[in-house]
Amino acid sequence: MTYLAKPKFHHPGLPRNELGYTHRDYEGTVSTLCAGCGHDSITASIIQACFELSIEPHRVAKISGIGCSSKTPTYFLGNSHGFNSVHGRMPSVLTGANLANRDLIYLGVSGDGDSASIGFGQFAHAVRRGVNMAYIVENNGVYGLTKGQFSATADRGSKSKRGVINTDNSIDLVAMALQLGAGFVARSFSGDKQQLVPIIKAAIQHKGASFIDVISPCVAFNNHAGSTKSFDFVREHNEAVNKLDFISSRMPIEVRTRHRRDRRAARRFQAGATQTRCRLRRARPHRGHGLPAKARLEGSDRHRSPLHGQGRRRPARASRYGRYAAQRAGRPGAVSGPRRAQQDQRQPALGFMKFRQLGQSDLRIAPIMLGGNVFGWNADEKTSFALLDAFVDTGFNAIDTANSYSRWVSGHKGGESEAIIGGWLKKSGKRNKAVIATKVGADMGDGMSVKKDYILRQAEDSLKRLQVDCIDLYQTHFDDAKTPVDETLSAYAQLIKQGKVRAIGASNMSVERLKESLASGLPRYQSLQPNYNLYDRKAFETEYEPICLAEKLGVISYYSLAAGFLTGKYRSAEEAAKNPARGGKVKHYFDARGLAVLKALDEVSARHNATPAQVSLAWLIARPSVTAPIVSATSVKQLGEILKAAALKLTVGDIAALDKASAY
Amino acid sequence: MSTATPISRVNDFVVRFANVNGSGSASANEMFARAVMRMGIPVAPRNIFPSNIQGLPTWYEVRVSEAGHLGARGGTDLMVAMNPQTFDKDIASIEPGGYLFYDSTKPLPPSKFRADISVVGIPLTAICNREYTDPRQRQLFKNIVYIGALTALLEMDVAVVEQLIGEQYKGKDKLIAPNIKALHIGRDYALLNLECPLSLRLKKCDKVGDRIFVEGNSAAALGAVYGGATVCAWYPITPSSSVADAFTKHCGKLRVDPETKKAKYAIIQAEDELASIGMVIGAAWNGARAFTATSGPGISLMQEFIGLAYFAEIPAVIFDVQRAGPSTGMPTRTQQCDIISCAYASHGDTKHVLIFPENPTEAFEFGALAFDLADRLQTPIFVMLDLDIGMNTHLSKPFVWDDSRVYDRGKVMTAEELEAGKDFGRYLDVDGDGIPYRTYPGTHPTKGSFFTRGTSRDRYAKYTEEAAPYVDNMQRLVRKFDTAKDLVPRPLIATADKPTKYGVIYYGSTAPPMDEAIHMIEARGHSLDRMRVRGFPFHSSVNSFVADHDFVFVVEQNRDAQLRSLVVNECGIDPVRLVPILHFDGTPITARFIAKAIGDRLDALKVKPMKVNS
Repeated sequence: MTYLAKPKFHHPGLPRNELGYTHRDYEGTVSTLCAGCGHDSITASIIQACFELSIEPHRVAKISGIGCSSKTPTYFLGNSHGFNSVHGRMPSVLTGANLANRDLIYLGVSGDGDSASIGFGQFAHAVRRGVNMAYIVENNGVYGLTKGQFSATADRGSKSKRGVINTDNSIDLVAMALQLGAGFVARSFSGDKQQLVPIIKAAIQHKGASFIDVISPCVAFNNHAGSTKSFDFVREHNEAVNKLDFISSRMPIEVRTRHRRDRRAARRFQAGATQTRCRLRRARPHRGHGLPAKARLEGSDRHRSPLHGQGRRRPARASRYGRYAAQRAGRPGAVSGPRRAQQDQRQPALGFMKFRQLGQSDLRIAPIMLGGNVFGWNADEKTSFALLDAFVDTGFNAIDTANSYSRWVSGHKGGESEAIIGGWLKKSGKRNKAVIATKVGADMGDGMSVKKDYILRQAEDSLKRLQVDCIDLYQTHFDDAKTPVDETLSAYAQLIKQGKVRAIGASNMSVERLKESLASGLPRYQSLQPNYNLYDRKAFETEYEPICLAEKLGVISYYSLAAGFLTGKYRSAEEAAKNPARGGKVKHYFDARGLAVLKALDEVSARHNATPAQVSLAWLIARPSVTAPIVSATSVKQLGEILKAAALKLTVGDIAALDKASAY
Repeated sequence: MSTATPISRVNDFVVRFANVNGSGSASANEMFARAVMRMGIPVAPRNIFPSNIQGLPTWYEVRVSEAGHLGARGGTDLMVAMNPQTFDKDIASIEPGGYLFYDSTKPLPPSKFRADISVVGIPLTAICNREYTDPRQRQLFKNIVYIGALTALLEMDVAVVEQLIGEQYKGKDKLIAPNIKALHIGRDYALLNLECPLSLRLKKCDKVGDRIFVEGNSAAALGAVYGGATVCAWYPITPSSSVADAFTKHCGKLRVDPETKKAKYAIIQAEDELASIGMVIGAAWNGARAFTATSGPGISLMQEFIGLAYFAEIPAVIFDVQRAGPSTGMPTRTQQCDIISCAYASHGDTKHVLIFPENPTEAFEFGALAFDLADRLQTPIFVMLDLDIGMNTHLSKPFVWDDSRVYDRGKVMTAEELEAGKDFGRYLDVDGDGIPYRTYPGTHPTKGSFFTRGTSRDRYAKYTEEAAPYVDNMQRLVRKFDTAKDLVPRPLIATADKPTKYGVIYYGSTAPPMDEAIHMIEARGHSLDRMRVRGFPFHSSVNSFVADHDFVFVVEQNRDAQLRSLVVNECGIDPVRLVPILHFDGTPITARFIAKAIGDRLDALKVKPMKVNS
C-alpha cells in the first residue's frame, strides 16, 4: 500500500534509545517497492541497527546509485541527507563526500547491477582506498526496473523468469571485497534480520571500508523456481555459520575461574579481546556448500573489525565462550556474554547516562569522574571503598588519582590514594567496571620529574599499588620544561607497548609543550586535565580549549567545584575559613564575580530544584569541550547528590545566565 | 650567402628550436627564454610537443617582442634545427631572409638548404664528442653548447644565462660549473668562428616590468587555492594534469597548518574521469569547494554526472584544458573545441556556465571566481582553459588578491535559520532569481534534510513524476541561468578609433594574437570594434554588440565555429551576421592568420569603412 502515507503518531511506550529516539525516528518515507521485496527487509534492518547504535540520524549521509536498491535510502533515516546519484557511481560520490567531512557516517547503498557491472570499477576503488563507509549491496541478481535481466551476480545455471539459463560466471562481490582489502566483509540474507542487524551495526562502527553483500530476493523477477536468489532457494540453503551479536567498544572483560584449564582459556580469551567482539551462540560447523546465502564473516584485521566472528574456523569456541560469560555473570548456564557486561556498565541508577569517548582513545567514560585525592586523606579506607562502590554501582566508571596523593598529609609518602583504590579493586572485583586514571610527575621524594626512567619506575609502583596490570589513563601530572617532550612520550610509548598503559593524558602543562607533544609523532595525549570550573574559566577557555577542540582531546577538569566554592556551602571568606582543609583555597573566590556566580547558581538551582554543585557540574558537562569534570566527595550521601548532575539538563537560558555571571 | 636580405631586427623576432623529445632540450630552451626576459625584453615561449615520451619531434618557439605582443605570430626568423627527422620541414618554415642554425658536424649537401636564408653551422656533435666521453653528457651538454653559441650570435648578456644556470641547479651545485663550461664552449666557438652578432639581436630594455613568468595551469591551480578549494579529484590527462600537480604543490606550501602540520586539503587521483567528477560532486554536496581538471575526452566521460549536478543543483568546478579533438585527436595540440560539449554537457535540456580566461592572470582570477560562482549558482562551472594557456609559460601581470575578500558561499540555510522556522524547500525559488537554498548534510537534527536526486521532484525535493512540478523546476533552472548572465565576467569591449559597422568577437587564448592583429587590420585600412567574451551565458551586451554592427567576425580555434553557434543559438541572432574566422590545426592561432583572414574578407567584400568627415 505504497500510496498510503505513513502515520506520524506512534505508541508512547515505544522503546527509546540513548538519544531518546524511537525506531520511528529512523524511518523515512513509505516504501514504493513491491510488496515483499527483500530490500524493504534490509531497510528495516538498517533502521533497527541505527536505532540500536543510537546514531543521530542527521549525522548520517546515505548515498546510493540508481535502481531499486538505490531507492531505499528514501525509506530510512528521514532526517539524514540522502543522495540518489547515478547508476553505479555511488562509491565516487561517497568518497568525495567523505573527503569533505570526516565526521559524518557514510552509508552507501547499492545494487548488484550498480556494483557488479556498471559500477564495478568504482566499487573496487572505493574498497581498495579504505574509504570509511558501510557499503551495502542489496543483491537480487537481476535488473528489476528493466524487467528482470540477469545481473553479474546471477549464478551460472540459474534460470530467469523468462526461462533463460545464465551461462556466464557470476561475480562474487564478497570475494572481490576481500581481495581488495576491505577491513570488514560480510554476506547475509535480507530475510534474516537477527543476523543482518548486528552485521550492519558492526559495519557502521568499523573504521574503514565495510562491505556487506545482502542476498535480497526480487519478488517480481527473481523469485521463481530455478532462481538461486528466490526466497525459497535462499531459505533452503541459508546456513548461518554463527549467531551474531554486536558489542560496541567497552571495557575489557575480566574472567574469573577456579579451574586452571579455564584460567588458561580465559587468558587466551582476554589476549584476543579487542575493543569490540562478537557473541557466538550455538554455532554449528560450517558445511561449506558454497552457496551465497550463508553468513560469512571475514575480518581482515581483527583489531579493526568490530564484528569478529570466528565460528567458522573454530565453532567450538562459542560454547566455551558462553560458559566463561555465564560464570562471570554468576548465573550458571546463563548465556548472557558481553551484553551483560555492557548492561553492568550502562545502567546507572540515575536513569539514562551516555558514555563519552575520551579524546580519540578507546576509553569511554561517564560524564563525571571521581577524584581520588580524598582517599586516605579526609576519607579513610572504609569510606573510600563505600564511595567507590557507590560511584561505580550508580553507573559511573572513571576514577582519577595520582601517584603523589596524598603526600601533602603529614606522615604520608604518596601513593596512599592509589593503594586504597587498588585494595578496593581487589576486594570488590569491579576492575571491569572502572576506568583507572592516575598521574606521574609530582614529587615523590626525589623531586618532580617527567624523565623516562622516572616515569617507568613510577608506573611500576603505581601498577603495584593499584593492583592492576594496566593503567587505563596515565597522565603527566606536572610537566618539566627541561625534559624533552620526546623523552617523556617515549616512556609512555614503552609502557603502551608493554600493555601497561592504554592511553595517556596531560595535566599541568604549558600550551607550547602540549602542542609540541601532540606534534611529536609519538603517542598522543588523549586528554587534558585542566583547572576549569564556572569561576576559573579564562585560562582554559582562551589558551587550552581551542587546542583541545582542534586536536580532539578529552577534557577532564579538576577543581570542578572550585575547592567547594561552587557548592554554595560557603557564603563568605570568613565562613570558608572555618574549614581547615578547604577554607584557604576558596577565600579568593569571594570577589564580585564570585558572588555573581553564586547568585546565578542559586537562581538556576531553584529553577531545577537542584543544588549549586549539581548546576556547576551540569554547566561543565554541557560544555562541548568537556568530557567529564572530576569531583571528589567525602561521604556517599554527598557523592550521591553530586552525581545527580549527570542527569541535570540545563537550558540554553541557564547556561547563558551562568556564562554571563562568570564572564571574565 | 642568402639571396634574400637577411632579416635585421632588434628585440622583435621568432626563434624556433627543433629538437627530439626526451633529449633534455626543454630546460635549455626555457633557459634561453628566461634569459631574454631577464634582459627586460618581453618574450612568449611556446612548447609544441608530441604525445610521446622519447624520440619524436618537439619544438620550442620563443617569440621576442619588445612591443609586447605575446600571442603566436607565425613564421620563424631563426631556426635552431637540432632534429634530423624534421630538418627539411623546419628549413621550409623559415621566413625569407631568416637564419638556420644547425649542427654542421656532418656535412650536408647544398640541396638541403634554401637560397633565401642564412646558414649558421656549428659542429656541435664534434665539439661534444671531443669534450665529453659519457654519451648522455654529450647529448645534454649539446643543448647548453648551442645556447652558448646563441648568446654570441644574438648578443645576449651571458652573465644572465650563467645566473640562470646557477638558479636552475641550486642544490645540485656540482652541475653548475660543467654547465657554465658548456655554455662558454659554445659561446667561444661562435665568437671565434662565426660572424657575431647576426642581424637579429637582443638588446637590454625595461619592458618586462613586474610581470611574472607562469604557466596557465599553475595559475589556475593557485586560483583554486585562493578560491577556497579543499577537494581536488582528478584523473591524469594531457594537457590538464599539471593543474592537479600544481594544486598539490601550492597546497603543500599554503594549505598545511603551520602548527599541526596537517594538510587542510584533500587531493585524490581517481580511477577515471567519471569517478573524479563524482567525487567532486559528492564533496561539494557535502559543503566543500571541490574541483576537477580534465580535457575534452574527460568532459565526454563526465557527461552523466554533469547532468546530475545541473539538475540536482550541486556546485562543481571543472577546469577544462582544451586540446585538439575529436576523439583522442591531437592530445598535445591546442584548440578551443569543447565549447559546445561543455555548454550543453549531458543529456536532456542542460546549459552550463562557462568562463573564458585569456591568460594565466585571468586563469588565476577566474580560477578563484569559479568557486564563488559555483556556490552562488549551485551548478557546475567550467573554466575553459586550453593547452596554449595552460602548458606554456606566459609573461603575466602579477596576481592580485584582496585579503579582505569573503567567499560567496551562496544560499545556504543554517541550523539557526531552520531552528527559527524558516521555510526550507530545496528547490523553492524564494528570491525570484531561480536559485534555491540548500543545506549541508548534518546541519540540523530534524530540519533541513532532503534527498538529492537526479530524478524529478517538487520544490520540496519530494520525488514526483507529475508534469507540472517538472516543468516548474525546468523553468526555474532557466531563470537561474538568466541570473548567471550578470554574475559571470562581463565581455570587454574595445571600440575602434574610427566608427565602424564591423566588429569582432573572440575569447580565451585568441586574445593576445587578436590584440596584435587589430593593428595589422587597421594598417590595411579597416576598423573593427572588439568584444572579448569572458563568460557564458552571454551578457546582454553581446546581443547589443552584434546588433550594433552589420557584420561581426567570430574568431575561434575550432572547426565548427562553436562559440558562434552559441551566440546564434542563445541570442537568437541571424547567423549571416556572424562571420566565422576559424583556426584549428592544433597550433596556437596567430596574429598574422587573423589579420589575413579578416583583412582578406573585408577586402574581398569591398566593405571598407566609410570616410568620416571630420
